[in-house]
Amino acid sequence: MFELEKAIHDWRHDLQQAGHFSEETIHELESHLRDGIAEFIEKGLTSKDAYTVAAARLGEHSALGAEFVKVNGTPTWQRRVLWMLIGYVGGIALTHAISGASSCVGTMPALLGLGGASSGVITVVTRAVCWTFILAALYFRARRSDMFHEDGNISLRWLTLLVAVFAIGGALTMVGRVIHSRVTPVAEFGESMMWTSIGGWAIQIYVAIAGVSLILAIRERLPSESTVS
Amino acid sequence: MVSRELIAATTRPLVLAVLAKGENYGYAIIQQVRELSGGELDWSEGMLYPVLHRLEQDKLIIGRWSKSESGRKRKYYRLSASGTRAIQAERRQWFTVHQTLESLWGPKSCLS
Repeated sequence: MFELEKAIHDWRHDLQQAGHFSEETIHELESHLRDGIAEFIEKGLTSKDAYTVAAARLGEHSALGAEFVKVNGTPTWQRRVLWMLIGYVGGIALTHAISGASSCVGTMPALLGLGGASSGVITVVTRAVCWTFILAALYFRARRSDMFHEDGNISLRWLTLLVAVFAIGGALTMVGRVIHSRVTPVAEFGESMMWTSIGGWAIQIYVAIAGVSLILAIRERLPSESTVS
Repeated sequence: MVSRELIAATTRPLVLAVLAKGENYGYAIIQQVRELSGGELDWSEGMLYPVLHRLEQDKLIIGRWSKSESGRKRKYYRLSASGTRAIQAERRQWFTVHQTLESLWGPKSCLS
């Protein structure tokens, strides 16, 4: 049994997979496809035949993609890199802001003489609360602006990989720090942590500056894209 | 049937000429051209969009998304001020070609 909406959905998915088309272009081509289907159905064709003829008249995806690349250069991958960089730089900025806030809150127990453990716990809790608040705000903002398009979902495979990387990375970091704190003499441990912290901060700033430069460079090369409103 | 090369060369002036008559969208532009040419100019439909996007990048046309009568969103295009000026330049060029060929080949009736 032929399902027209499924056929259009698959056709759209193939275009997305081709990687040459922006979401706006895909919307526009889908609108054209639907116009064609409606016309052929009106002329008496079955929905299956109408879809087949309308899709064929639009042309092969590969040939279409080649034409769009000529016009747009490679905006699709540029936009992807741009958003990845914006996300990364935004992540660094947020990390610094939250780290600063949690450090301030974390010093309070120390000032009150409550000991290192309570200071550490309060710092971690502050960070967790801040991140939860930001992620929840992003989630609700994204839901309102319809960012979670049905075809834009991250696949389960990638999500699993992402969680695995976080889990393994986090576990290795934790194990490394515990070993480091156990084997390094107390007098040297503080200095070691200070240099690690300064070095890490310097690297993050360096990457953030490089990221912002790349964002500006990519934005200059991108053609303007009006929004589907 | 008109050759692919000639179709490619005429797409830009034809799109501008159709839009000079008023705001329109891709599917309707293709239908108008097909109708006016008696089916001789049969574009590969998807190929119109890179041309429209190029014209939009060159700021000769302006695109905007709007809801159609059916409730679906469509991208409508209209000529910009520079698009209107570009049509004058296209007209001059095409009339030059047309007049040159006509003077070489004679009026249309002599061709048959």
